[in-house]
Amino acid sequence: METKQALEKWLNNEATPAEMKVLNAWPDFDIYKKIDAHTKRMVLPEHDITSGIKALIDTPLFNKPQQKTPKVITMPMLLKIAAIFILLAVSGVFITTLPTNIQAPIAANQTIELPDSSKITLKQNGRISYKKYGWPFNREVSLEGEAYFEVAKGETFTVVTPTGSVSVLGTSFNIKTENDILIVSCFEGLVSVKTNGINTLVTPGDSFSFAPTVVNNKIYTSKPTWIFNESSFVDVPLEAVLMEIEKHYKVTTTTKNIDVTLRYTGSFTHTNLDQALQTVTLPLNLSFSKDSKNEVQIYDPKKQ
Amino acid sequence: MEEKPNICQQEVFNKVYKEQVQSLRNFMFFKTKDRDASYDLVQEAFLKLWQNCGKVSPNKAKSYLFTTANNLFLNTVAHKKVQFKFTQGVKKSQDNNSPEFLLEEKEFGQKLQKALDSLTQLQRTAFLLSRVEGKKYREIAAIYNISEKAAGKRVLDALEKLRETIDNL
Repeated sequence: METKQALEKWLNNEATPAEMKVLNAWPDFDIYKKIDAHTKRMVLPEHDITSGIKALIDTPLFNKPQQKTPKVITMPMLLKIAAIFILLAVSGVFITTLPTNIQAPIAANQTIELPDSSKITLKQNGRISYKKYGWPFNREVSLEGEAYFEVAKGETFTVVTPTGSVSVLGTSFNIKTENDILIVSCFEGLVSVKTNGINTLVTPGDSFSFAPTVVNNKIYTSKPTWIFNESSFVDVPLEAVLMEIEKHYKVTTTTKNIDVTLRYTGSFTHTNLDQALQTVTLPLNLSFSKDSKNEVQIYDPKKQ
Repeated sequence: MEEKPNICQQEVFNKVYKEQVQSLRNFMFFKTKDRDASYDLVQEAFLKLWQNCGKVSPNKAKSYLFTTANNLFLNTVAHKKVQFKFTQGVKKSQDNNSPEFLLEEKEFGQKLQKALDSLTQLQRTAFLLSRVEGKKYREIAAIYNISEKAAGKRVLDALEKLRETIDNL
């Protein structure tokens, strides 16, 4: 065993003098030495480097390495910096043009604060869209439905509606759009309305109804009444008021012995049907009755 | 940016060739026992290295060459029986020219050749790498991807088997 270990070390040229002593005293070692010496005299094929390389180069396959060096595209530092800036600019343009869409819930108003702390109160079902990240450069809001605006002072603030665009510098105003109707009421400051290429200035206390014809009405409140969950009317036919009630309370109204073109000025609440009906009927000396199926009848008690 | 040494550059490839070709040739010669076959295998291994120059870094070239040559060798034996030609295996002894000695040398040389033939290819190659090339167990282990201990055992086993075969001839 000892000799075998020594022999293994000797084969790796690592035998110690002590191990050599053991090996030399071992009779079998002679034959191993003889095998080793004889093997070492083996004639090896001499590889000619120059002709070897030449033979390789002459191989048709040699000229085209199948695996090409991966090409690294390098560019000067200045170009790199320029590329980064272009990328930033492009992404900036992209981000600032991203629109933010907001739709108010079906049965509630929603207040939206814009990046410059302008405020929009969006009436139920209304919809606005504006560019949140591009806001400092472009104060523009698209509106469908009705909304009350309190605009912070600054650059021109524009509201785009299907019928026309409304521009202001800093003011409070209400815009109502419905089908082709556009009603702009100004509470503070000055509002410019552009419809069909015509500019109309709306001053505080004025409410302009555009389309189909321009009608000027006065307003007597400091904010639109719907903000406080009320609908208000100035010299409006009763018919229109009843339609508004139907819309808010999901009821159907019928009339009996009444002139539906009676003019009404006033407001009704959105929170209590009985109160609302009273505030509409009382000033006109009318009465109302309700049934269980959400049907409301308006009648003239004197003509019963 | 400085370009790193790459085997796809002809001068880098030539350098690798100069440094590795002889030991690779010996390795293949030990395996095949055939001058011509070993030459072809070596050249083919270098051709493969060139074709894959983008994938192999210069410091991995040696290991790539030995592995590739070994695989190429295994492919050849798969369909072609290796012919034993080990004719020029021994040099004549110079210090002792007595006829008896020469005869004995010649006889021993023939026995050694037969004994080497009786080894497995792996034993023979490991033994010759150790004796003729003077490679350490560590280097042999690296070529075959085995442990140093296993490499040492393979060489020792080969030597013992040679002795046994020679004794019985």
